[in-house]
Amino acid sequence: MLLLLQALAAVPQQWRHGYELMKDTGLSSGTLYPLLMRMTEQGLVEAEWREPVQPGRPARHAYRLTAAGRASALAGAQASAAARTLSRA
Amino acid sequence: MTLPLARLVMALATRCLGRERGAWARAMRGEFEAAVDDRRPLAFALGCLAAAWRAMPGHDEGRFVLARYLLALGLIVPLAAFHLGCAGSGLRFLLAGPDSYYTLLAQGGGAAQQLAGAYRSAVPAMTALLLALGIGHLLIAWTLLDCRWRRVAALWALTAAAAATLVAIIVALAPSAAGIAVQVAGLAIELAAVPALAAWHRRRAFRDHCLENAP
Repeated sequence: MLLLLQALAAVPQQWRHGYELMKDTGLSSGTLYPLLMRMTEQGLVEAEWREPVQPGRPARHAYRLTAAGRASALAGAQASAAARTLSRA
Repeated sequence: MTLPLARLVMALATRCLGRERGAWARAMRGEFEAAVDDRRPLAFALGCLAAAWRAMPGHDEGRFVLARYLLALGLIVPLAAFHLGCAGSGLRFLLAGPDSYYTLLAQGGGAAQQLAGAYRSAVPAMTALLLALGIGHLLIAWTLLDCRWRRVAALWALTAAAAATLVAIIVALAPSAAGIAVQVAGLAIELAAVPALAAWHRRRAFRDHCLENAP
């Protein structure tokens, strides 16, 4: 989940497609979608439908972090940084 | 070949997600075209199927589907196989094959030999009942998975009557028959589970109807 939070937090205002997130994080669709479902239910991620760019294609879901998601991503990044500092000490 | 297979897997995945997760099914279908462009449709579709299966216990529709498949494949089909196997043994005996229980009775005293005669004359009826039970169970499993509840109810009543008749004959002729307790327990679970599933389906249909007609 941290990986996905970080990927979404890298460009927090930008809407991202599922396949693009798979490419960025290296997660498979079998891992990504359960995470997205859970994070949406927890209010960390919001989703909206985007009209297809190419005609004849289905609409696509796009995702971005909510304020709670951004806070969670920040807390996660801080916790990782603290853990790294401790392991170096 | 990969693309049609991937589309098939994708259709199965979206079906497994059900109506409650319909938006996620549409979201997956939308991204599937991106996976096709990336030449990785099958891996994407298989991942979606795995995700859909993992999500099934989390929603009512998924639990209902899982319960139906569990009952059909975990209990009813094995019961059908058992009954058809027993019917096969009965047919072999009718065609002059060996039968260990008959041989045991025939070698006994007067009462046992009388029972052997009664057993022999009951074998055609028992075989027919076992065959009917085997076929009946397979039909129940099929119609249960298809949610054709009226047909399930009719088959269920016929099968219950056949099972009760068979148990009565077996208890009279072979009271110590091995496996009868297991068989009775299996039938009892089935007889209780099928109406319970039908009631669950009715509740779900009523709730869907209320939601569709809500102001």
